Amino acid sequence: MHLRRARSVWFPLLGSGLLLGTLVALPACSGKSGSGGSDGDGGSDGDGGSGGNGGSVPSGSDPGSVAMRRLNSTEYNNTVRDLLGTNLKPADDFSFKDRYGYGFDNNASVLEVDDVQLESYTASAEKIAADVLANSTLKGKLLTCAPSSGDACVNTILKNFMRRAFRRPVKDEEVKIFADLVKVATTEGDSAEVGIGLAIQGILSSPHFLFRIEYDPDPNSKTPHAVSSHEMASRLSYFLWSTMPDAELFKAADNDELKTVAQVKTQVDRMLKDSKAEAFIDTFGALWTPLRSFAGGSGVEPHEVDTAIFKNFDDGLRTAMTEETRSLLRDLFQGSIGFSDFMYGDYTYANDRLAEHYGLPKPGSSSLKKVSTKDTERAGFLTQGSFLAATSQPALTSVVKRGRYVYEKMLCGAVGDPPPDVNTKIERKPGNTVRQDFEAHESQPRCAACHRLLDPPGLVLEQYDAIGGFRTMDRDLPIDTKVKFETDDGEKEFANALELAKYISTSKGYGQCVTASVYAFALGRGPDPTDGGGDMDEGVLAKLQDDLKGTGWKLPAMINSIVASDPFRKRRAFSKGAN
Amino acid sequence: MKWRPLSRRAFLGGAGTILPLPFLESLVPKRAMAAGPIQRAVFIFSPNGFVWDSIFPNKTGADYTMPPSLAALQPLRAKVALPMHLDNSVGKFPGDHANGTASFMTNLRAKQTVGNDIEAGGPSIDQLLVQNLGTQPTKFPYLNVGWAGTVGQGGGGAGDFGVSLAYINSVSWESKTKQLPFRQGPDKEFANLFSGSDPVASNTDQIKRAKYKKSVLDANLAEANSLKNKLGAEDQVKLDRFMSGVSALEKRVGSTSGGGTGAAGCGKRYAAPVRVPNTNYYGDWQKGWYQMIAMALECDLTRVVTYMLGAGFSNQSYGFLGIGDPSQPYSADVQHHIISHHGGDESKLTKLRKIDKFTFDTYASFLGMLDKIDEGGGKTLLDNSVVYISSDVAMGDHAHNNYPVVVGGSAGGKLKTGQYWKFDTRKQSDLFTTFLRAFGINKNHADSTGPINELLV
Repeated sequence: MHLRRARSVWFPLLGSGLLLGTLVALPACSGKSGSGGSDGDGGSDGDGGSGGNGGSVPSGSDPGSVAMRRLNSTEYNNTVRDLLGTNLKPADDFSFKDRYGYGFDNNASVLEVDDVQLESYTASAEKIAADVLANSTLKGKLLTCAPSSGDACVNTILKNFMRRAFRRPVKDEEVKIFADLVKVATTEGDSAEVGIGLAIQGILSSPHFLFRIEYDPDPNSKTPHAVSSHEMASRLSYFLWSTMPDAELFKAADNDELKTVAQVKTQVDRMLKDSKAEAFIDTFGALWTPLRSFAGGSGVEPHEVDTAIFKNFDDGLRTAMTEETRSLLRDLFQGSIGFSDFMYGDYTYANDRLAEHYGLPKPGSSSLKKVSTKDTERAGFLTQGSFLAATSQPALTSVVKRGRYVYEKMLCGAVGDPPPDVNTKIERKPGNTVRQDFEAHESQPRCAACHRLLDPPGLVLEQYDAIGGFRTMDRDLPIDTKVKFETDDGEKEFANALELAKYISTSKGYGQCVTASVYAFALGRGPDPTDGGGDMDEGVLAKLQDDLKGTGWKLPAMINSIVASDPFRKRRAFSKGAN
Repeated sequence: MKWRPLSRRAFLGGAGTILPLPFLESLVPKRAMAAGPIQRAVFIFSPNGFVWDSIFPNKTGADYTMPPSLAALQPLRAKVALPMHLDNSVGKFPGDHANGTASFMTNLRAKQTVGNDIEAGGPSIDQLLVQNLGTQPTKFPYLNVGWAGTVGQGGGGAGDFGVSLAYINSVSWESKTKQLPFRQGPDKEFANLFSGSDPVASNTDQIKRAKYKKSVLDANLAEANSLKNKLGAEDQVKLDRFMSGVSALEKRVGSTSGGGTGAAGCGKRYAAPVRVPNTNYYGDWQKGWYQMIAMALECDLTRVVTYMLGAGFSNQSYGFLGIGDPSQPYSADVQHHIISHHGGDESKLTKLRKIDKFTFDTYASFLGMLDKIDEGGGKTLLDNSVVYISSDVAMGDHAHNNYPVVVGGSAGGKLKTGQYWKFDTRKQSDLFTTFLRAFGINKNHADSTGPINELLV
């Protein structure tokens, strides 16, 4: 395996500088031809591109931009909750699913509204308006005066509500559009309150609500400019909380106090401590790890486990595994550990049930407690049940799925699907170990081109079964987890998963990949010129990776650096092409 | 003319995940038959190709033996055409699935890009029909339904050999830059399709409600209009999509019935399908949408439907067909795309034949539903329709000629049925041009040189 990545299509700035055009003509990882193999970067430092080239990091002048973007399903549910206090989670009933870009469902380029979706949004707006007006507490908060008392009251109610719904100050002519809806109702003989309901419907299906829109002084100019304080408030709140700005952020924005780095950092410090920051675990965290596909949610079905084979697997164990990973993600988010420790650490969280499953001493509790994993077969994320199960088949482990997850999501490498004319069947030979069966990949050069990248991390994880239990035997045969592969530091041998995790945890490839992943999530775009990226991306990413390496890539520090960077604080007219 | 309720049993496939239709009182649809039958077109995309040895008949003409994968079509063979072996080479490597899906109905080569700047060769045949049929009285000018399935996230991915995976999400293109969305869950979409009427509301209330809805949409349109010139060119495209969505919704406001010639309140006869989780969800889901399409056509909600049984490249699990193989523990041996690359391996071919059989069993039962809907003049809804089904690739290991194709119905007696033809010198686009002629449209589709005259009555 090559732990230096051959190339990355997800994050084109990473990788060997291979021309993207080559991919059109040749299948991925066609090995030694140089069309996707790891050779070609020449020097021992590998990677070219963004990695720690010290003083030679290009600084660039273009902060890039981001497309107008629809609130995704998580953001929509959270936003209507905070805007109106409703308990409805309307997006759970939408029949469409958000698409992904660069690994996340908040990628601006793919977040659109079409007529099918709009049908759901207008129906949802109607339901929310009815829900709020039927609840005296919620209604009381919204109707600060009696709408029947006249235009002045109606305008005040709407202006206050629109400012929060549109996340910016609104002009009188904008308010008039919705005040007119109140008149439509009263003209029909309905009450002004019914009219307010109509106005709420309209505001909740407005492009200013459904989309996050950032304005440029000249919508066609590529000259960078700082985003407004209100736009900054939304950038921060949707990044860290996946919801609309709160009163404090609105206040800071109204005072235009989100312009300097210091002002932004003051808010970020506060926001990271707020309970809403828990959202980061279930957005960034659940998509960067396979937690969402393990636990289910946001339109994703939970991972299926064959309980005929794994008779001890049930919802209790699934919940414990989910909470285990969430707890470690929480530590990562709060900065008590960095990405390095996340990959290779000396503790986890378990209750009695999970500890027993893992073969760890029981903490004597049905709720999760922090437990030491020193001198055990567990260390960090790769040995957690949620990861090991989500990357397995229902009944058995998958060497390829596990390997692919490590290679693509943790190291930002990319491999395609098998070439069309390759026989993908691996025979299960009686008396063979899994490993011996998989040697078929090595014997065929066309398979080996990709599988030498994918199989080794999968093979070292074979000591963990399809629900993460530890084993030394598979079908009465001993499991040999020893693998050799070429890394940035030359060919290395790894005896087991822990050694691999330890190596990955401090490797540059991993540092670059986690940095690029957080960056893509923070900005809602890839560090990629075809997604609105600018030439500053490369320098910002390289600096982040280098600066934070010593602390094991701590997330709060990473967040603080990203929000202080020009790409987070500036923009220019959006364009998918290079600037 | 008589309303014959579709058999409830017909919809309850397998373990019955999508539970449909306690029929409410049967209202007899009153169709205006003055201008001849209403023609409908249904295009069905079935991903990953078919196994040739079980789908091509033994001889051309009318007295072929029904091939094993198509066995369920036997009772309807007189109403089914098999215009096979057509060519769609524009979909070929690299990116067989992405290009094959993109060109499934456009029949032109898509832009080769991995970025978000995807572009098809031109409009797809379903949309060309919609555009040329002119303004329709139906609630929906067209209906796109389908299954996003297990691939199809699109955007910023590695693509299919350098061709964007966004192409696999939808085969329907209004223009070369506008890829149209698909409705996914039949249970969740029922309300969107059949809503608009409240049985207990008075007429005045209904009118008022429609007025309110329209006012709200007007407000959104007004806002969007004033927003537009403040946006850059690419965000304007996004806003345009939003605005055409608002306009589409406005047209549907107040359509309490199909809006077309379907009986008023036609949809009220049906209850929303209910999803009951079980392991055969996909199989029941597939049948659930067929049933919803039959209802939508019968109520004249729309006249053009595109149904994607899966995204291109689909790795849909067919474990529910009992094709999993314990001796193949490593391979995802029930996942469609993976096993579709059979390389001549008989164990994979056996599985694929079962998948093909399932595909055409449900297709045949759909044709059966349509054939039970009497539309007068001795014709059924099936007779008045064309129901096309084919794939992104002609076979699993990729070919873009020799496509297996099945067409149910005759577009109101305009197309020949009951035979198997070997059109190996003609293109898919020629067949679509033939459809255009059957619908009275004197245009050629994409790169077509003209209709296949042997198929025209």
